[in-house]
Amino acid sequence: MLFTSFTYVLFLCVVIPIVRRTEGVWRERVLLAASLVYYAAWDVRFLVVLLALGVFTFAAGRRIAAAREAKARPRFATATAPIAAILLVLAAFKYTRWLVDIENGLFGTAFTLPKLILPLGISFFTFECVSYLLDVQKGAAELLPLRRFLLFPTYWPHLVAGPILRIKEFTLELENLRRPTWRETLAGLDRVVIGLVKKVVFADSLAVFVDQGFGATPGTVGGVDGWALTVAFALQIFFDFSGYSDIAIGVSRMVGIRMPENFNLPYHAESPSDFWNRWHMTLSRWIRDYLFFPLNLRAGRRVWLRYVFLVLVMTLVGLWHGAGAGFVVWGAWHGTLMVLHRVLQNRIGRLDDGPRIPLERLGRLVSLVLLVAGWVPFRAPTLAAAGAMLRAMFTLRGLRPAYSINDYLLVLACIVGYVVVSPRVERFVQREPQGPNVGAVAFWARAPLYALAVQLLFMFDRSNVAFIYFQF
Amino acid sequence: MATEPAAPESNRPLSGLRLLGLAVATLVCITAFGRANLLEKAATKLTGEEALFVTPPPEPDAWDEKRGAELLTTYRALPALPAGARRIVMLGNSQQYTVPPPTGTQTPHNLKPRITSMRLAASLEAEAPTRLRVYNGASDNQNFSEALWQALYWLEVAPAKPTAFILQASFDTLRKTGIRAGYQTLLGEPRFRDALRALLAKRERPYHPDWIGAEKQWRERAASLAVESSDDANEWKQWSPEPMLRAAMNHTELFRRREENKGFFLGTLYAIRVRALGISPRTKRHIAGAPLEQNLAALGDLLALAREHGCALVVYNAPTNPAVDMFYADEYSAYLERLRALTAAHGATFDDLGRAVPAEHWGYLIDGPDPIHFDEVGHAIVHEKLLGPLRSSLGMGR
Repeated sequence: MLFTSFTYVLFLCVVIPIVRRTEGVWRERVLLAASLVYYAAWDVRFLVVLLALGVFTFAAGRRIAAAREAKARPRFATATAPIAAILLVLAAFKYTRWLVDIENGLFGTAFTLPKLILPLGISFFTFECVSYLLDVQKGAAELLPLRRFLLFPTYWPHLVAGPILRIKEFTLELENLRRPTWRETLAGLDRVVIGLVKKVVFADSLAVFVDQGFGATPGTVGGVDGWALTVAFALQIFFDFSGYSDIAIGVSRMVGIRMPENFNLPYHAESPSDFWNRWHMTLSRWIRDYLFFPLNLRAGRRVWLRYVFLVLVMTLVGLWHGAGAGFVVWGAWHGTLMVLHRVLQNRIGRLDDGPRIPLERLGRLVSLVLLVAGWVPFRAPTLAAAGAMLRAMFTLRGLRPAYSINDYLLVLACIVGYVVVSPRVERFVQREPQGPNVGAVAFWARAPLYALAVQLLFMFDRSNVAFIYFQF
Repeated sequence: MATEPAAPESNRPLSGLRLLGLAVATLVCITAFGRANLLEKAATKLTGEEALFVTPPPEPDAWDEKRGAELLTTYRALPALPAGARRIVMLGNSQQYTVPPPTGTQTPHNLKPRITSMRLAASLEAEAPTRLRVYNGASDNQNFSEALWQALYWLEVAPAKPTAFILQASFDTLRKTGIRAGYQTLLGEPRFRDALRALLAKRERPYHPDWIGAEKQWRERAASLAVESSDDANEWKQWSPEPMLRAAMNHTELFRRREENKGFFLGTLYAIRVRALGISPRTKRHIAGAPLEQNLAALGDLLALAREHGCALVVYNAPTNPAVDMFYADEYSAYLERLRALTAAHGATFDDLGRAVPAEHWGYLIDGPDPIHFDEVGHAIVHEKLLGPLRSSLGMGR
C-alpha cells in the first residue's frame, strides 16, 4: 500500500474518521489495528516478523527494567543479548545474502540460500526496538502496556521508512492524544499534498533519467553527463525521501500525533557535519545518541580515535542503508569528509577574518560538490561503475552531453525548484505549530492549488513506483 | 473590564464545515480545470500549430504505443500466413509523424502521408500477393533496443518466423534508450520472458539494464492492474483493491484523460522551451556516449540474432533534412562507418539514404524546417530507392 496509491487514499478515508471519533484507549486500539492492517497489506507474512520482534522487545524491556529495579548488575543475558538478537534478525534478513555472495566470490564456493523476503521497513523498526531497550537500560523510558508499546514500532505513518521515533517522544504524544483540530487536519493535508507532488512529479520524473544514466555500461558516461546524473539523483532522492516524510508527518498530524521533522534543506548545508543535521535528521539523532556519543566517551581525549570512530560510525550508517559495497563506501566517504572538515575547521578557525571568510565560503562550495559526488557509489550498480563515473566527473572526460536536452532542462528546473521553492515550502510548513494560516484568501486559495496538485498527480501517475527509502 | 482583542482571522479556529466547503471548492476547481482544457489551449496557443497535437489516424497493420494499443494483443491478433507465404517485418523509426506545412500557408495539413513502410508493404505484397506479407512494426522514435526486443519476439515466439527484417536507422533515434510501456506488454507471453532471460544470461550487454528495468516496470504495472506477470508458482500473490480503484477512477474525466493532459502539458513546456530558450528540434545535439553505445550494441545483437535464425536483414540509413544541420559531422560520419561495418560483418544489406530527400519535401515545426519528417513525395523517393535492394535481398526478380 504505497503512500501514492488509491488504496492508501481509501485506507485514510476509512481510518481517519474512525480515529477522530474514538477516545483514549480505543483510539490507541484503532491506531494499532490500522497499523497492522496497513503492514499486512504489503505482505501478510511481514506481520509475523514485526509482531514477533515487537513482543520480544516488550518482554526484554520488562526483564531489563526488573533487573534495574532490583539494582542488579546488568548481565549479558538480560541487557546485551536481546539487542544482539534484534540486530541479528536485521542482519539475517538484510545482509546474509550479500555476505554469502562475497564468500562465494572470494573463495569460489557455491553456497546458496533459500529465497528470503525482506520485511519492509525492517531497518527502521529494528532500530526503534534497539533504542527502546537502550532507553530502558538507562532508565530513560517507562514501561508501557503491550498495546501501547506495540503501537510504537508499528504505527503506520512511520513504519516503513521513518521518521525514526524515540519511545519518550512517542509516549508523550500518546499521553496528550486528543482529537486533532480542523486546523491541524488542514496542516496535515497541506503536508500530504506537498509530499505527493515532491514524490510523483519531481522524484519520479527525475528517476527516468537517473535510471537510464546509472544503468549505462561503465565507462560510456562522460564527465558532463556524470555530473548531470549525479545532481539528478541527489535531487531525486531528496524529493523522494522528503516527500515520503512529508506524507508520513502530514498523515500523522491528521490523526493527532506530531512526528519529528526529517529534513531541513540538506543541500544548504555549510559542511559535511551540517548535512547530517539536515538529512534524515531522525536517523542522525539515533546514530549520534546511541552510537557516536558512547564511542566518543570511550575515546576520551584521543582525538585520532574520535576520528576513527566517526568514520566507523558513518560506515555503519552506510551499511544500514543497504547490503552492498556502494553503501559502505558512501558511508565511509561521509565519515572521511566529516573528519577532514573538522581538521580543516580547527586550522582555519585560527585564521584572521580576512583569509578565513573566503576560505569558509570556498569550503562550503567544496563540501557541496563532494557531498553530491558521494551519491555516485550509493546509486551506481557496482563499485566499478561508480569508479568509472567518478573518474569521468573529476577528470572531465567526455564533455559531450549525450542525453536528451529535456533531461538536462528537467534537472535545471529541479535545481531552481530546490533553491527557490523548497525554502519557502519549508517555511510554510514549519511556520505555525498550531496549524496554517486560515485567513480567507490563504484558505480559499487552497482550492485551485489542491485541484492543480490533483491534476499534476494524475498526469504524472506511473502507478506503483516505490519510494527509494523503502528498500533500506 | 477590558475585552480581550479578537484573534486575527488567520489564527481563528477552523470549523469542520468550512473545511468541507474547501473540499467542495476543490472539487469544483477540478471539474472546471477538466472542462476548460486549459492545458490544451495553452499548448495550441503557444505553438500556433494545432496539428502538432493531433494524433494521426492509425495506420493499418501498424502499431504505435501512443495510440494505447498493446503490442502483445496486436501480435496475437495477427492473421495466420497463407501456406508457403513469407513474412517481412519492418522495424525502427518510421518517421511517420505528421508533416505540417509552414504556418500561414493554405495547404491542407498532410496528417497522414503514405509513409515508406506502407508503400513498401503495398509494392512487395502486390508483386507476390500470395507469397508475401509485410508487417510494419516500426513506430515513432523506435530505438534499436526496442527493435531488438521486437525481433526477439518474432524469432523466438511468433508462430511464423519472418524471412527478413527491414530496419530503418535514424541517427536521431540513437540518443533514445529504454523500452516503452507498449513494448513491455510482450512480457505477458511466458515464452517471450524465457527468450528474454536466455538472452540476458548469455553475456553482459550495454542495453541489459534497460531491459531488466523494463521487466521490473512491467511487473509493477501488472501488479497494479492485476495482470498475471509471473510463471513462478511459488511466488507469493496477495490481493489488492488497487486495480479495482483505478478502474473506478477511470470513470472520472480528469483521471481518464491524464495521458492526454500530460501530452498537452509537455507540449506547453516544449513550446516554452522553443520560444523562451530557443532550443528547438533543429538545435545541434551530440549523439554519443552511453545511449549511442547501447543502441549500436542492440543493433549488433539484432544482426547476429537474425543471421542465427537464417533471416535476411536490410538496414537503411534514414534521410536527414539537407536544410538542417543538426548533427555534428564527426559523430554522424563515425555512426555511418559503424553502421556499415556492423552490417558488413553480419552479411546484411546496407543502404545510405541520408541525402535522398531534397529540402523542399520536408515538413515544418513551430520555428522552422522539421529535421526528421518529410512529406509524401519524400516517402515515395525513399520507397523507390529501397525497392531494388530489397528485391535482391529477398531474391525477388522484377
